[in-house]
Amino acid sequence: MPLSFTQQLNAEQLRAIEDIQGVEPVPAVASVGLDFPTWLVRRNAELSKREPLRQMLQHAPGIFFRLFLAAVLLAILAGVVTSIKALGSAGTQLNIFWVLGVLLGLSWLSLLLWLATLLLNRDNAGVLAPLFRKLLDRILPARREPSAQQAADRVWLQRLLFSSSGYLRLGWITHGIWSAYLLGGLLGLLLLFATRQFDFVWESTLLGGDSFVAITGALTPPLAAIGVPVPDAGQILTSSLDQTPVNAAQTRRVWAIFLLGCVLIYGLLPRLLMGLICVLAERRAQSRQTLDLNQPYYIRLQREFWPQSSRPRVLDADDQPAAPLPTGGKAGQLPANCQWFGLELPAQFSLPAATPPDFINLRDEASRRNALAAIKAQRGAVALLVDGNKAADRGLQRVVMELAEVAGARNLWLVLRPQAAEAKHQSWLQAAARAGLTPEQVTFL
Amino acid sequence: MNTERSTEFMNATLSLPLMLAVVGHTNTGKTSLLRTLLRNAEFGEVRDSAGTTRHVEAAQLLLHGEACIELRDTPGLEDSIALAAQLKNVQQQGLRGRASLEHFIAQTQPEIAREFEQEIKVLRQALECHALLYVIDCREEVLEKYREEIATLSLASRPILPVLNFIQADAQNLQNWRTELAELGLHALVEFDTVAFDFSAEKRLYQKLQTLLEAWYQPLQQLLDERAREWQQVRSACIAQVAQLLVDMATYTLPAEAHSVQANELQNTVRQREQQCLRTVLELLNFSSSDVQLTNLPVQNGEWELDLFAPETLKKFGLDAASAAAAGAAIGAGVDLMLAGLSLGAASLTGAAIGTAWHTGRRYGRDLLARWRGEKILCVDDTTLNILLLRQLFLLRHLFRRGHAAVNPLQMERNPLQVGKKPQVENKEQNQLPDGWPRQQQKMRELLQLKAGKESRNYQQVLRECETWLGQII
Repeated sequence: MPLSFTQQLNAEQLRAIEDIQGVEPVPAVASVGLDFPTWLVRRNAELSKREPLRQMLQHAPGIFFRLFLAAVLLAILAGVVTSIKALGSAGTQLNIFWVLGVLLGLSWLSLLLWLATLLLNRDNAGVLAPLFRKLLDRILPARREPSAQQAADRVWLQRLLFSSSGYLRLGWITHGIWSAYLLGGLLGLLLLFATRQFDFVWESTLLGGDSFVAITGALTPPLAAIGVPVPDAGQILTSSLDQTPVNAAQTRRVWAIFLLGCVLIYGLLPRLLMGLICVLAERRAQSRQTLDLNQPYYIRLQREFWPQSSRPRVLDADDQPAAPLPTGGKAGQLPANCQWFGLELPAQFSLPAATPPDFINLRDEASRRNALAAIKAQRGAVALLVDGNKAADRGLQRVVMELAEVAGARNLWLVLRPQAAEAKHQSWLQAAARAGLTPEQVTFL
Repeated sequence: MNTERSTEFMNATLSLPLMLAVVGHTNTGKTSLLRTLLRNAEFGEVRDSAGTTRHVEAAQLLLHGEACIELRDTPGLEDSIALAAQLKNVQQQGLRGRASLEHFIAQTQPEIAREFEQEIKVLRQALECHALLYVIDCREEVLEKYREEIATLSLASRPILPVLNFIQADAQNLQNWRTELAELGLHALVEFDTVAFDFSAEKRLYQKLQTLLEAWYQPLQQLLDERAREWQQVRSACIAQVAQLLVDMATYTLPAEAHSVQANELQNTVRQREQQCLRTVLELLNFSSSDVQLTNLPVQNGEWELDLFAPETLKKFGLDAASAAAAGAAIGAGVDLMLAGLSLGAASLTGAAIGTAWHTGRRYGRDLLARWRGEKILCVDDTTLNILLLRQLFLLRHLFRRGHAAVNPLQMERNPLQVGKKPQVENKEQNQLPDGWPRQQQKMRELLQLKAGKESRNYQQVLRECETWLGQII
């Protein structure tokens, strides 16, 4: 199951916290029968409800939200103040197109700047949002040895502001603040228009009335479409500085609505639209992000809650007491003129010089029978050459016992080659003891 | 109960967990096989001696928390010839196959039962389990006693999958074993070295079981898929750790004020960071740093034995020790960031956008100031980065092929292929800095010039590229 972005963010924040605080068990969510991502999501959902984890997770988004809200409120205030300042001090006559330029020009200039910087340097587009990010970066700085809270905050910042979708968030922050500013401007205008009476005029040295009719005509269709009364050609022409409109009150009202409508449609609306596009694009970009489950934390979690194997248990215990360890004595001197035999010697075994070329290597039933017959025939000292790299198992022990029985326990010598390591030497001493041989009869070459 | 199980098996009805008895002659590596399959280095006891395991111990392989396979570790068969003789007596009473084993276990006299206690434990498991994994030490020659073991175990009428262990020791013996097993009708077998781990061998083991135990095909496939995913995940996680170490150290800087003191601090940081990476990698691969002594690897108790900056280390990895020592212990080369800073700044300025210029100005302003004041910064030099890379590659290559049963250095030494020859071959390989490294290094150094922090996308991108590159060369 792929995780949604919110789930990924939640998981990463919890990872940051638990990497520092240690993993918390969540017994309410059983792991049996679930795949890891499903389990992780359920566990994290459960975990995120707990205090103080819930608060820790909400810390960074809380700061972000408060900061954004403050910026928006400030922008609204700025908008109101600017519009009132710009218009309030101008007297009773307002130059329509000049006011329009003042109200929309800056917004459009900054919008173009934002678009231009977006193409040049995506991650630092605009001026406002990088400042906003810088501020957050200062409030929640990266630290060398962060606390759990700081680490969780940093993860939030990283995933939302510094990641590949970060520029889109910066985008909607920018447009959000500008929208607020324009909204403030709109409110200021409304306030002014509601409480004061302005005469709207246009003036020009170079341009004639036709130009202003054309400009107004180009701006009005969206306004007309939503049913707002727009200035007609007569009203426009008579609004020239040197003329007086026939129906002055009516013209004033139409112009005021025209101004408000223009700010709404050409100022606020594009910003809101851009903001919306950024929000949607951010969602899209976020949905393409993946959670890196190869991080040690997730592997640790899997191991802890999803063991690859169960605890071992003993099914059939060993209730025989361990055989007493034989006490090793000093190896004795091998008598001369021994009859030589080998016990399961491998093909590449380096034989000592004493062994005759036709000595019998006991490997199977047939060779064992041959060896027993040869011992019976000769009745002398028997040297049994064994591989010191091997330990004596019970099968080999039995063969030694059989040889000892036929040759006589005093006549059989075990010759280890090479000298065996401690544990293996012990096993041969044990074999010798079981066959009735003394430790002296275990020697090495 | 046994007859029930028998019919269940014949009808091939699925029941989980699938029970597998791990059987074989004594000291062939049965417990080691379990350790590796269970990914648990603490299971049972492993010693190079006969009869180390004397009881039957079981553990389950879990899939999504549910038991999928139960592996049962049994004592070694030690005296199959005498056991075969006893069974022949039973068979003379007209009993065959499973019945003969059941009768032998139930009816045998106390002294014989005591003598064959271990073998009886094995036979009981052979009767109870769905299939047998017969572990063979391929260093041993094919002997009659092994044939008897297989013959006895086949009486349980369960599929037997021979697992050839210690396969690297002797090619001739391995071939003999294959021939012998074919003669005994055991054609499905698997080469699985419990010491030199190879995931593809584990995969083959499960695949062979799938053909032998068709009814369990699906759960075995699921387990196989899950194990493959886990292995891939752990592998990538280790590679990611090393990539992080490299990028982190390539971009680490300190202001060079009092040169000697700072250089020491830089060295210590590199050392600590490398040890931290080593510990994480060991943990990820489930090697406990405390009790695993890593043979053939200069790592002990989870720490590198050779210091990163010791001249021997450089020599061991075939780097020029003299030049490194001359460079003030291979560290502290001041990197003049100014040129790069300026050219990049100029490039951005051509964009002529106010925001970008403002940002660029902020970014390089401090560098300009530092330049003006004559300050320099310290960063980890190329020789140190090279040796970090070589050491980590050496470590990963080693650990990825290391079974969880590998605790015994003797087994390595015994291996004729590895004694004397191998280290030289490895050294030669190590001396070579892998292709593409200069390119990677350059990209990391560019981060340093860009002053891209760990959270930046540039940094993350270089990190991803480094991971991919490491994944390819390992």
